Amino acid sequence: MNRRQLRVVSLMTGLLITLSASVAFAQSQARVRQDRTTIWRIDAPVVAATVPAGTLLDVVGQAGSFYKVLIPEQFGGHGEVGRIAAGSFVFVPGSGDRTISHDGTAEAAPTAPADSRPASHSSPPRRHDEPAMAVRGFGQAGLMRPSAQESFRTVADQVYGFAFGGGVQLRVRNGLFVEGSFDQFRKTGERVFVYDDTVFPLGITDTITVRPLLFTAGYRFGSTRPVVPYVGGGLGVFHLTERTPFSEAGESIDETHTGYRMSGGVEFRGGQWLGTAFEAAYTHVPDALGNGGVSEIVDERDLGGFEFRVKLLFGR
Amino acid sequence: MSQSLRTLVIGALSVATVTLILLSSHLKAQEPQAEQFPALHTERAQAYVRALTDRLPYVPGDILVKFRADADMAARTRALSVMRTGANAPEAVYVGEALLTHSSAEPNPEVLATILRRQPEVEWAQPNYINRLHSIPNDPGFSEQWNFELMNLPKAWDINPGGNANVLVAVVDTGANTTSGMTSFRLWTGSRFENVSVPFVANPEVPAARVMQGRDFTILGGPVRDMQGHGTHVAGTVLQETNNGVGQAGIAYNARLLPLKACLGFWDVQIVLGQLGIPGFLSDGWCDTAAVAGAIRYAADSGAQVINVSIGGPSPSPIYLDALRYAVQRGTFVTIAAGNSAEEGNPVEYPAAYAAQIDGVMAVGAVGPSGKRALYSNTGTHVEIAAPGGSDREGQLAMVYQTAVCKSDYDPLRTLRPRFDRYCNVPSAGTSMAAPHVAGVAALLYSQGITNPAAIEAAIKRFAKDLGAPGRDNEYGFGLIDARATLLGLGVVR
Repeated sequence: MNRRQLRVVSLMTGLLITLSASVAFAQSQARVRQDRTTIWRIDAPVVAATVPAGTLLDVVGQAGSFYKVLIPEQFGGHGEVGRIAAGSFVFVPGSGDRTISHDGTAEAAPTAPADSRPASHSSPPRRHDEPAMAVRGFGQAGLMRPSAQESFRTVADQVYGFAFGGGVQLRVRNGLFVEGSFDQFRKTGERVFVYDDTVFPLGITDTITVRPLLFTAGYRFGSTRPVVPYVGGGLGVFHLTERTPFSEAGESIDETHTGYRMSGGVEFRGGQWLGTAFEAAYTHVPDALGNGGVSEIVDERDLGGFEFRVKLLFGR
Repeated sequence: MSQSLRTLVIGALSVATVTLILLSSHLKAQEPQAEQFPALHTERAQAYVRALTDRLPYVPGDILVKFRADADMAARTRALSVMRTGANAPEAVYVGEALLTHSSAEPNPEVLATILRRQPEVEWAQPNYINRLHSIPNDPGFSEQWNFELMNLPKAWDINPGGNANVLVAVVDTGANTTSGMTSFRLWTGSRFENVSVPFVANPEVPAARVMQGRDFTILGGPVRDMQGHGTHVAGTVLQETNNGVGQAGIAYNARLLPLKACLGFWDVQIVLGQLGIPGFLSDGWCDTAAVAGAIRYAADSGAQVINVSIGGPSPSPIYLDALRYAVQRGTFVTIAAGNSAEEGNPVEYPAAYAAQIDGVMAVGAVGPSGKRALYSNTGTHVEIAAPGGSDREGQLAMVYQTAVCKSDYDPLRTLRPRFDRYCNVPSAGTSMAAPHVAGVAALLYSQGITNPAAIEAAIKRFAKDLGAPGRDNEYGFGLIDARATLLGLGVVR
């Protein structure tokens, strides 16, 4: 990987992590301690809602001795923000570091209510926090290392390459999810001739492109938590092309192969609508290579490989 | 006083000498552009003539000997003492590591070679065999170059248009006309000897900028000329000027040419006869192994990346094996015509037979426009690749056309005063024509970055279009050369 690519990767990873962190910490969750706790309208001393003990609230900011929370839908909220007295709730452990936006302008670390009791003493969380079924879209960027390392190294000088894509994920309340995704991995190098371990570059640009369309099923461990590990597996079709500027009919490669994928990762939920996932995946596309070209010489037959990717998820 | 006189005399002599030289050069300048051919070594020239008249397979009196590395001068002298002249052969020159001696006292060099091989100091010994050119000349006619289409060349030019001038291709053959002017030869004109002024014009299809100074390895010596047309034709296939709206095309048309004359044609022989004062005509030419081997070594030493040898004969010649190995060790790829004697007993021909032993040397068989082996093309385990060579059995259009000296201008049946100043599209067929097709592709490969002769051979074999029996076979070798596929090389998948 050259310096420029390294810089791009660092930049992208940093951006994604920053975005992910800001989303994750901008909202924390709190649980109401007492029945008939009042949430006040933000703009007037008027009751917006009265909520029972155990109600889970999304805390979005702080205003003096009050905290700003989203008024839950089941209590008449439609995305409006209300305020609630600091002592009437406890933060849910692990829902962020409670760095709450102060009046939406500054970060402050509010003192947790002195009278906070362990969450286990509260009423159990209600399942209505997670919809029975939710659809999310995502974009993904990754760094791939093909299994056919020698082939790619010979033609493209380096093994690693970027993959970009996106997909749709359908998740259900019991932790299961299914996902359809596509991405594109492209490497450009130079055609060669290989003799006795000596590589002779021929000065002809060679571009190989792999476009997997994958269907994955998986399980999310503790899907209501803000940090959700998951695993999955699936199969798909891999569209493979190889072209040169001189390619004529019959000389280009344009094929489709079947392959398999296993993946696992960790998703960081940043509220109801955003999330970031860091995922490692292994794909296996047998017999897609090795019937010609350098891959035949070095006897590499698998078009798959390892990939580390970052996903940005949009939706509940 | 005497010292002053001596100084005066020396000074006067110096002035006189310089004056004579200047006068002489002035007089030469006044003469027509005729150039006197250098004198022959009479004894060897007579031996060559005898070889022709008696149709001998070797040059009588010539013997090539390679001594073992540990044989010092005394040991070598002892080994040579078995010769009738003892170790005092009147003439001895080295061709690479082999000693070429000539002694008219040795009537049969094959017997002498056998005796010499028995000497402990000798690694090998062989006669100086006479080889033939591998082409079947024909009348001028159409100019369609089906051969380039057959080997997928036009599309290969999309990838690599003509190579580049960093690649030097040596053509070991009958030479090439690289200069223009008149040269006076003493020729037999049917009833007497006459000094005939013969015009030469450099081949306009190979610009001077792309022609290196060649060398004549035959008994003629002197400037390189082609009085047979074979060398010009072969060189044309390799690198003739292309896209100039004239004549034919060549494969690596940006490469440079190193013309090395190792063969004599009809008129070369007539010049030899004229200088020897032998009346009459001899209708054959030859290439002796010492000249060919010497030219191969010279080409390698001159930095040629590719050598084409469209020459062969039926006698095993270890001097060829040594020369070919020498060339490959210096990074030179060599193509050799497989031979045109398939219908005459299909004898194994040399140096082609050595090709299979050396990675970086390829023996080339010929196919006609149909892609089938030309019936004349030799077969055998040494045939490694096939290329268009033309097929007289498939008609006039089935010949390989290339720009060469107009055959009618020097056809012995038509003229006693040849001229080599006009160029025509000349049809020819033979493995001589097939070999330069491979040499041309090799030149393109070199310009693309494959600089190892063995790798070039491997690439040409790998991308050949398999013909005949699946895999390698004795008719087509690994198949018909495919220029485009070879230049395109390998990607990850294909």
